[in-house]
Amino acid sequence: MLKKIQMLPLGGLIVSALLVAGCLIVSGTFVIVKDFDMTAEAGFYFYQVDLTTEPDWDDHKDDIDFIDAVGVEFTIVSTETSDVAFSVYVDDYSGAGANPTSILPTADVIIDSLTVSPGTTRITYGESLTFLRNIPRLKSLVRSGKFDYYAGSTGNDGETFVITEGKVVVTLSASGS
Amino acid sequence: MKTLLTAAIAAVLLVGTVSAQLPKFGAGAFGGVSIPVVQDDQTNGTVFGARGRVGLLPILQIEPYFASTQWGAPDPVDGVNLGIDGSTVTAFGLDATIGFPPAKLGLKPFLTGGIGSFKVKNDDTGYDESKLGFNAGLGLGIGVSPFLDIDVRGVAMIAPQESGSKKAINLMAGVTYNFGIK
Repeated sequence: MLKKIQMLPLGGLIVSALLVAGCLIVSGTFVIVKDFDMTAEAGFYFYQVDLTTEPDWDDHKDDIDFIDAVGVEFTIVSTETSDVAFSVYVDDYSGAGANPTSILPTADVIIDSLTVSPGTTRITYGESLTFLRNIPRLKSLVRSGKFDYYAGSTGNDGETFVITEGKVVVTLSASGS
Repeated sequence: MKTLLTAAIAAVLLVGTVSAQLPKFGAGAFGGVSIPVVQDDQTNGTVFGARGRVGLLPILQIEPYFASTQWGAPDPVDGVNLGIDGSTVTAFGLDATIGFPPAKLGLKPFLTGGIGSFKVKNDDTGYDESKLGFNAGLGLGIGVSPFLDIDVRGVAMIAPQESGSKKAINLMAGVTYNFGIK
């Protein structure tokens, strides 16, 4: 009886090792970064985000449990002479074809009238988490793998307002190997 | 049948005799390192907490516990510094240990495992999930006096979420004071 009890820790070690090994295989949390740049046409910006081309997405696309978090980061270079209000919308992926020239009524705003002063403004991922809105819709679109991303700026006086070094950062949990 | 009955009665008498010599209750604290498993958005952090100990049998103890874990901020991903803090895990529950009798001097290898409520939260991302989870592992207790046990243990923590789970390996050291020693 005593020997059996003494063997228990060894059994526990084996069980723990199997448990951990099994968990390593079956699930995890992954961060995917998708780069983008947007070119402005009269204060209107449009980009189709396609996460399905990312290797990490491809590895886990069939096993996504849920989207933990979505954020963005980008740099705005504004040579406007005054503040500009900048908004971003997301909508279902519209597919190939001519780019839209206005924001559709089905789109939801995720950045609402962010004030951008003249000069260079860097929005970080962490900052974006504090002002992003309509997160459930955003997460739902992200989970589909593709979505439309619009932006509009108002208050422009005809100078340039360019968005560069854009990134969509997706944290997802997935099961499966 | 008669042999079995005799053995059962002997076992009960033995357990009763030994139990009478052992403390029924203990309390202590623990702390250590928490290593997230397959979580790109977390790095190693700390875990600390308090636990009680209730002796049911000489080899079987029940440990109610409270534990607080703070994982570390994530490393940059594809050149992006996420700039957020790691998540916290607040847990309370019941563990059982086998092979860790109190008031016995010397080395005492043991198994541990149990269930608890695990709340995983990140204020920066707004992530907040609370579910029933479990942990299992093993450890080594050292009886330094009849009153005092110290222990080190490695535990796999699994906190189920909406679906899937958050996991970590916790490596901890603790100290437990045994009450009722005469």
